[in-house]
Amino acid sequence: MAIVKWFRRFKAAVWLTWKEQSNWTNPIIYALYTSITPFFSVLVYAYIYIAIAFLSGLVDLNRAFYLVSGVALYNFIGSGLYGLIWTVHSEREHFRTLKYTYLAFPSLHLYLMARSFYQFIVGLIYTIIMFVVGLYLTGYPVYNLNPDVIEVIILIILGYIWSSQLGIMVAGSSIFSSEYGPLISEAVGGILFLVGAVLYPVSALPPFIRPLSNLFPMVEWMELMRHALNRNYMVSNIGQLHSMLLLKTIIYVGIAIIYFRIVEKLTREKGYLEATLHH
Amino acid sequence: MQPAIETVKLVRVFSSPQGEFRALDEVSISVPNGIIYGLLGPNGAGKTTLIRILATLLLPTSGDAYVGGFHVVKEASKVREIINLVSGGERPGYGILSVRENLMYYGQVYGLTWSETKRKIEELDSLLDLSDFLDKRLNRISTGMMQKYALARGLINDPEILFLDEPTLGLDVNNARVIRRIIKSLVEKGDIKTILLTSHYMAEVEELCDYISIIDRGRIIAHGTPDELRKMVEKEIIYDVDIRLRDVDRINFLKRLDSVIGHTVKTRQLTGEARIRIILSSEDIGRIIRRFEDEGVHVLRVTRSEASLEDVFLKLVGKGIGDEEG
Repeated sequence: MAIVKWFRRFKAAVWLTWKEQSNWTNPIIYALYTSITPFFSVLVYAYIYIAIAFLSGLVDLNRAFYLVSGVALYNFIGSGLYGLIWTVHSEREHFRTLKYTYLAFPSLHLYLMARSFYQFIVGLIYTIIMFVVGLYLTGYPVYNLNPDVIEVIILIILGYIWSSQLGIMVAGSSIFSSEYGPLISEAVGGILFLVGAVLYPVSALPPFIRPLSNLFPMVEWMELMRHALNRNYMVSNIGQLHSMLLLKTIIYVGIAIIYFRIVEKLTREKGYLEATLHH
Repeated sequence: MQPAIETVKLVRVFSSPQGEFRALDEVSISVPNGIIYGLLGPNGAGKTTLIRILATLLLPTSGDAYVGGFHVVKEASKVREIINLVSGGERPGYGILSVRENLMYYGQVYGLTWSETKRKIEELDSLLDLSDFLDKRLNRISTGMMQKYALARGLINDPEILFLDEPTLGLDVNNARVIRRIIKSLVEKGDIKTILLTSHYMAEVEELCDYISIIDRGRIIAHGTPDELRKMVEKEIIYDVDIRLRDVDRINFLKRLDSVIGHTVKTRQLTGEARIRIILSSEDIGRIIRRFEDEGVHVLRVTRSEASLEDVFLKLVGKGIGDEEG
């Protein structure tokens, strides 16, 4: 019974994000808007690849797959992460509802996960559109992909878990800064883009930056997703990648729970649930 | 019987680079079940700080507080299950959603099913008369409607204990009257067991509350039923003296008179008059009126008045409740 109540609460928070995101227009325009955004983003990256291929005369379809899949998959992580961190800022600064949410929802940690769930779904839609359109534009033979659907689904769930926990930690930190909360989310998103094997492998990074990529499960997740989507994409030490992804995800969940409890206590000590800059 | 709310030597200190501010100073109150309990005090007296602690939004620096028998620090989640909070003078909510959608959301977040929430909204509609704006977007409703919505949100989970923090702040006279009528009916009909209400409006507290604590500078300075509190000034003599507004600057001598316990000034810009309410320890109005005239103050009317809660505050603190902001 308690689980049903939790599910109901989770669903309500997802529904709220959907209404908040889509209520400004009719569903058709919203659907159009949601699909056009990733379409134009992937156009940029696909044509960067095409331009380089045209200028250098080198056509490397494996590189095309790496680039398109990286950019597409980053959208799933990025969209959810931004959505989650933005929730704290908007609830406190814009809607002034954070204190009422805190009273109503038994766990602020789970509430933030629920509010970001919709953003992850939108991110997933972006990912699918960008992936398909991007591969088509770069001329990659889509029929060669041979994806492992079950593994893709499991990895999407794991991606949601670790990135939402990362978001929880960042959102927790942003409670202490009204003005810079959204900037922190952009900074974390930027770091993931930089060191997360999105456009290039970690080995392409300067040596002093490389250790940073070990802090996040992003590289393991990206590489495993690429392999799950395309069996022709080879990864070495697949077992080790699986173990590391699982281990890092568990560590992220543990740290996020502890960290958010500390944040919650400090927030109540300082009275930051209601602190606003009155924009 | 266990009180609905109890605080024991509750202290809250706010620290800032400018120094420490003691918002609550050993506040001990006990609120029985089934009443409207008023916390009366000027702005900055500590009323909202106390409500924030009781609603588990803020931690106390020291002392203990219990709501429904649960400790607000150690059993915060249990406290949250039985309370709700409505604050006046703010517009919280998801503006792009309608009032109905906002309430549907909160109902489900509190664990109600879709149909239970719909039924609850119908109940709240008949209680609060929401139908005119139930399907309007929250960002398009008036302040009075907003406060009715806030009350509806505060009642959506059938709380045992409801905290009302300045519920009529910023409302016009008519809307404030409607909100007060609703609040009174909530406890009378048994919809809510206990209400803790804060206000700096004397008349509001006097009209609504069964029991009142007067708070000033973080300390409870008096408590009792409205009649018990009024009895605190039954021996004093109270006069309202109407003068011209332009003479207000000339009445400072009142502070120096031994027989004057305190006085307040209420200006009436429209009529160009000011009403001076004076509490006297002995019948000395004749001498005071002569002093007014000596100072060049033109006295328009002098009326003997009945004691009110405002006079209690005036006697205890030496100034009116609205005389100090902050």
